[in-house]
Amino acid sequence: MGRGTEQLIKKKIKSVSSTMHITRAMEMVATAKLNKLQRMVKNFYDYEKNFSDVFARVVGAASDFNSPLIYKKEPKKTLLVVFTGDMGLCGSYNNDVIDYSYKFADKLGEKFAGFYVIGSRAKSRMSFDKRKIRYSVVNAYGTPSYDDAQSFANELVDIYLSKEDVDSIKIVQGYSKNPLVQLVKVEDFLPIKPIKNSNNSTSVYDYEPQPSELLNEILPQYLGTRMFRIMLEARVAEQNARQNAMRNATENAKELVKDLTLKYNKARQAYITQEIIEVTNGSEALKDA
Amino acid sequence: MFKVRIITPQKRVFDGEAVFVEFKTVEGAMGTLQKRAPFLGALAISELEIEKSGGEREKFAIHGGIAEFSQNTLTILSDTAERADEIDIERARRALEKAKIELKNAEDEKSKKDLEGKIQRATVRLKVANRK
Repeated sequence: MGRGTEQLIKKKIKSVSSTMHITRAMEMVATAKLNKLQRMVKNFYDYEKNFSDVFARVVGAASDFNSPLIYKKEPKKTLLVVFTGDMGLCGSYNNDVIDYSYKFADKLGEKFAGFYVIGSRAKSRMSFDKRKIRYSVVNAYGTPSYDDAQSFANELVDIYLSKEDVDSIKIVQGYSKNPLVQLVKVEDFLPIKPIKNSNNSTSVYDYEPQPSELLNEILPQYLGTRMFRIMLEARVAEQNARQNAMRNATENAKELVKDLTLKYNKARQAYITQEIIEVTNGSEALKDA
Repeated sequence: MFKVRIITPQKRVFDGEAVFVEFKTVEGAMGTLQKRAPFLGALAISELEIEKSGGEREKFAIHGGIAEFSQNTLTILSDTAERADEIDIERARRALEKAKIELKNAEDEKSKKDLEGKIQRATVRLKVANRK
């Protein structure tokens, strides 16, 4: 042990604590983004709740409704939309979503038509794994907006209606079970499964236009609403995951600094003790002479 | 008097009471007073006008959506609803001109429909903003 070890440890402490500053800053950024998202979610749930009430009433009234968007027979070709983030540093979140989508695609087997990839994370990994990417969007929907959700939903409807080899669209997304646990689920987007008719209101409504036409008018809005929910949920899960990952990183760095400081002090003490021994030994030797 | 709520995915734009509300469904103009029979309608991209108890009137630009009247409450659910003073007139004017030019050059049906929607939205915005 000498001055060298001390210097080495000192350098390490410095580098670990600067990393700690960065991870702490990133944790705070994630927290701020999460707060913003949660405000959006709260406002949106107000809208969504009212909208689904109205939607269920219209569906209940439109008995003769017919649209290619409604589920009729078992789909043969499924396009999987995979929602991931554009940034890493959020633990295993992105990879969990991708792994889940691989598993799901394998399960579909013949019925799998390709991936629609959102987020650069999934795109780079899937091209590396040579998976079948049919469409991709990167660096979009960072902060989801309803307009984005609506136009993305419309795009999916277009694909669903115009592509011969796609007759079903499912969405793989992460969601927060609670702030500490992020899970992955798959949701049917198109065709729309027959919606439960919860028409328990006794009053008779005036409709303008007729219920089936009215339903046709608001179907895009319904899909946009669902898409916005999916986008928000996925983003909240991502930010939660990032917040947790960065908090853990900061905690670990703190521990590391503590250990290293102890090591540094020990090394310094050992060096001093050794020097004292040398000095006293020297003087003892002189005394005897 | 009846309750009126205008809800968008972003926020509650209006939550209050009114004596008369005028709006447009896809089939034509409509107005409602209190205690109307239950009603459900698809809204056009149009103006919506609320008359409050003091006779004071407030205008909104509504970008489609759905209107429901039930239990003496009118609920408007729309992608976007803007008060007259929230509208950026310059921006709407520019958007309108741009969309008009693009429409002339548009070829396929889908982009034509999109552009027509844009023109409608910009027109309604201008209409509402100019008549505060």
